Amino acid sequence: MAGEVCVQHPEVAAAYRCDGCGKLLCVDCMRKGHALLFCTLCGERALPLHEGQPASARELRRHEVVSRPYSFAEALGYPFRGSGKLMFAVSVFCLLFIQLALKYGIGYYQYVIAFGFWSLMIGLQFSIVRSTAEGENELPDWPDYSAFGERLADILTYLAIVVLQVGPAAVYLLLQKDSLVSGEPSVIFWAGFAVLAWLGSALATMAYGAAGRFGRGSSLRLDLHVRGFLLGGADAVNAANLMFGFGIAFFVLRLALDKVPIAGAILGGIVGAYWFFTSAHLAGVLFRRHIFQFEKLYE
Amino acid sequence: MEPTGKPRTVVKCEKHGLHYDSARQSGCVICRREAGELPGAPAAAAARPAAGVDGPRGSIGAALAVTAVLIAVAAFAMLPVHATFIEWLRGRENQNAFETAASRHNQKQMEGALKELKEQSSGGGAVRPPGDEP
Repeated sequence: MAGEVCVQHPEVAAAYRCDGCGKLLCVDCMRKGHALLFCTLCGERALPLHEGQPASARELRRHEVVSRPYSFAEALGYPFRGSGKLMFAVSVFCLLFIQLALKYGIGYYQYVIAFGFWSLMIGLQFSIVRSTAEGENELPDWPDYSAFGERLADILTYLAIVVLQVGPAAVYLLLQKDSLVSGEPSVIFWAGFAVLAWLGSALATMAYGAAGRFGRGSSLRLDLHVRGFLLGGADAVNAANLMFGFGIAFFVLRLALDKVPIAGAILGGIVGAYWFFTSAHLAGVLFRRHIFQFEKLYE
Repeated sequence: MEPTGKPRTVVKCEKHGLHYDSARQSGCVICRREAGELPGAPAAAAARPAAGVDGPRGSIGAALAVTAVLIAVAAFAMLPVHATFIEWLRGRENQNAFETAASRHNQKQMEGALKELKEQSSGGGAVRPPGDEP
């Protein structure tokens, strides 16, 4: 459409209209003031053409931060970036320590330690989602150790998300338990399982993102998750693919590693910590890319 | 303080629908570009989508094709897991069957020993506790 291109750059779609001269402007023909956006041609205020386009300097700054190019492939290197390397190493060490404590510990102390550690890890996951959705590409700080109520709420939210993730596939296995225990392994049977597991991953991705970015209560809004997933389009499908693919690979790998006594436990700890950080980051990247649409949906 | 100056000679191009300042320019930007008066658009602006971060990235068809491949791979990957599970289940059933048979055998032995003791006691024979031999 001829009227929707920038007045100075006809090859570029217009994003703003000047409130003074009425010219259509691209982002290069508009400048940020202290609080508002202005036309570079006449100096009057530039107003967004489309709903959802940043209307103030603050919104534009935020827009620029969250729209920095960042691919899902780059997101896979998340645990090894910046201070993440140290945090990752500490997490692997702690995971191995907890595994050993649960196996050889005496009394109930090891359960208390494991509970404390996992509550922190879960809190960290939600922090990762939140900071990623706001444009951060490095690991955030550990959550507050002393906020017991917060950590407990995090654990309950996490459990609800796990139910969403594994629930559909678990119900399928329960309904088909006769084939599971007596029948020969069949590709069709497991394809049905995989479809439901993928749907569970898609729901869990949306629930993770919503809980981390918009508060724990939104993790249970299945209707919003479905609408958000449809709004996300290819990005949402790609994120669910990564969550599902890595989830299945992690599950099969853990089963294989269980047969190798010490090296298996170490490798399992490394893979588990990596997936723990990366899955939260992937959900955050999806919510960052569609933050303005999702804000309207969840808020 | 933000500038508020505003030109009063802005008109609309009838051909392209774009506004331009008629006091300073011969026509709208497209007319001037067509006439060779203007250079091309900056690469940064051309590369930036107008819809911002919420615009679609990648093809939904390609993403769904990857989903189909992943589901197929997952279905095949679960076959050996299922086979291992069934083996484990059968092994457990055999173990249970063995344990049941062993417990029956033990029970029979106990019953036999008890019967023998009863016979000895009814026949007048004293039953000595172990280690109480003369």
